[in-house]
Amino acid sequence: MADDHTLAAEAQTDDSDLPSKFIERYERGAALLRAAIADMTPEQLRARPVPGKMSTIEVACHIVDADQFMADRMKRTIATDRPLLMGVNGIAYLEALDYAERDLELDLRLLEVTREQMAADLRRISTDAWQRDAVHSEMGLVTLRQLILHTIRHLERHVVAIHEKRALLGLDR
Amino acid sequence: MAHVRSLFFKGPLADVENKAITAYKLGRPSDVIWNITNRCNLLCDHCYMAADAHTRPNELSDEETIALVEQMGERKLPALFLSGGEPMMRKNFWEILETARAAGIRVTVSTNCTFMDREAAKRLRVDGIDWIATSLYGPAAFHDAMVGVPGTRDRVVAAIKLLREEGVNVAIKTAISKATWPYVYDLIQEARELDVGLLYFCDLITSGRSEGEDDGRITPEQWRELADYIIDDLLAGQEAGVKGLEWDIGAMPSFIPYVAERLIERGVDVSNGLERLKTISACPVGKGHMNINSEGGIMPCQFAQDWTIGTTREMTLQQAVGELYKLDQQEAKGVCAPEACEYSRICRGCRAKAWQRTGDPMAEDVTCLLHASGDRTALAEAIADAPDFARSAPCAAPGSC
Repeated sequence: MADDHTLAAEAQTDDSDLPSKFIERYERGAALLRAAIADMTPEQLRARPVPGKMSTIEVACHIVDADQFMADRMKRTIATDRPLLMGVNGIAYLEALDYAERDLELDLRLLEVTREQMAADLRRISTDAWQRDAVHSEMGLVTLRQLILHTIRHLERHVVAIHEKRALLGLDR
Repeated sequence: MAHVRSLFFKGPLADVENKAITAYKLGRPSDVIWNITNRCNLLCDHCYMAADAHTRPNELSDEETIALVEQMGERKLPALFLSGGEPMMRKNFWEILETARAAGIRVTVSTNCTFMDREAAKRLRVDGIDWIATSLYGPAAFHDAMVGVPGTRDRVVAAIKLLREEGVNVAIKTAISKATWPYVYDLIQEARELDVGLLYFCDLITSGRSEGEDDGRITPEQWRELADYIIDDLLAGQEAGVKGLEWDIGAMPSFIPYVAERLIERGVDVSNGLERLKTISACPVGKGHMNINSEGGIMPCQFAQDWTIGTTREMTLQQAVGELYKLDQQEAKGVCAPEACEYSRICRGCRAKAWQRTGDPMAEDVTCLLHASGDRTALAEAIADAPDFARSAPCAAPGSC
């Protein structure tokens, strides 16, 4: 499983698709996560089938919290000139915010609304705006296109990890 | 560029430089600096490429890059420098590197090291990379402000340590300017502590993002001070029998005859170095050296991106060498002209600076360290005595055979 820095680096080096094609994929992300955890019991959500790794609820909450600052990074890149985007150690949030006790439905709704609103913003911006850039405190210079690609892949890769946990819990046969 | 220790003594780059000379004498490309992408994750305020987060519109495709590397291999290119932008941000960076290595080309990667991790360092070692060249400019706050991204210096230093642990040769590069000058000697000390093998000092290039900043250059007196320091280091190393740092000087060709003069004064036999300089001068423009940008544009020098002789899409490397040789057949003007300077053919002055200043690549280099300085008799006589391979070799006109 690639770590977040690797994902960000991959997004920085990827030219494979037009940014406009990303919006639909970005919007689909929330449904991907919801579907991945839909039939899981509270015990299964909190289980750690892979020793030393996050539980499913922790992964889901990590996705949602990361999505908040990723949306903010995109908005600041669109609205301000070459802003400085601070890197975040999302892992530090797990215990500090007690993800295991979170209301997961609330998190899922927040993710859906965030992505719906951000996607609407992205559809309205001009083509030129996709070339806007920002300075990430860890990754350096990044474009709006790279930011959305990183956001998409961040969720998708973590959903893959959730499916691996499901398989180990005997849920996907 | 000029590797001072390898030129006048037995330095670490003598072997590859000899191969470059042989390639030039045979009419082949001697070395290529290839900016494989213009995309970068840093925003260095002096970047001669003005690299940024974006790929150029007509960037060479992956297939074109591999075909070009294969052409380099067929022409037995001795040395390839992969640069950018940040070369590791190009998706097929590893494919380019490994294809070049498989073709027997010695490769140096000029990277900002922010994508360097243990896995990459190991892979570079396995691939047999010649050097990793990376930039440091001064203390952390200064460096990070200069490259536009906080925390960069710490990451670069960590990457250098990691590369050295893996046994990869590391070179530290810095731009010499009024801004960086206060930190130069600290940087030399740090280079030794980090166990790097080469320090590259390049005069401020006033193109790209530092266009028009000619008053940002240090004085000739400061350059001579640095040269005197390096001469002392070279001689101390020779006396002690230690390998020592290699010193590479960019965009300041007159540094080399200045060093030669001082070495002669101190009783050093510089005849081998002079022989080599008569073939490939301190400024390598026209001597089989070329720059290729990410869109395939071919330039005589990487520091003059608007001085294009063609593109890899319309000419072969061999044809490019032939075009570049036309520059070699022209004489420099002003203080760099043969009638004005005894060192004209071994130095040539910086042709990129001449181009930037006047649009005439043969104009004089106004940053010369030697013009109107002391007695030149001893070095002039030594130059006259040194064999001149290029002019007498049967293949002196590259591409003619």
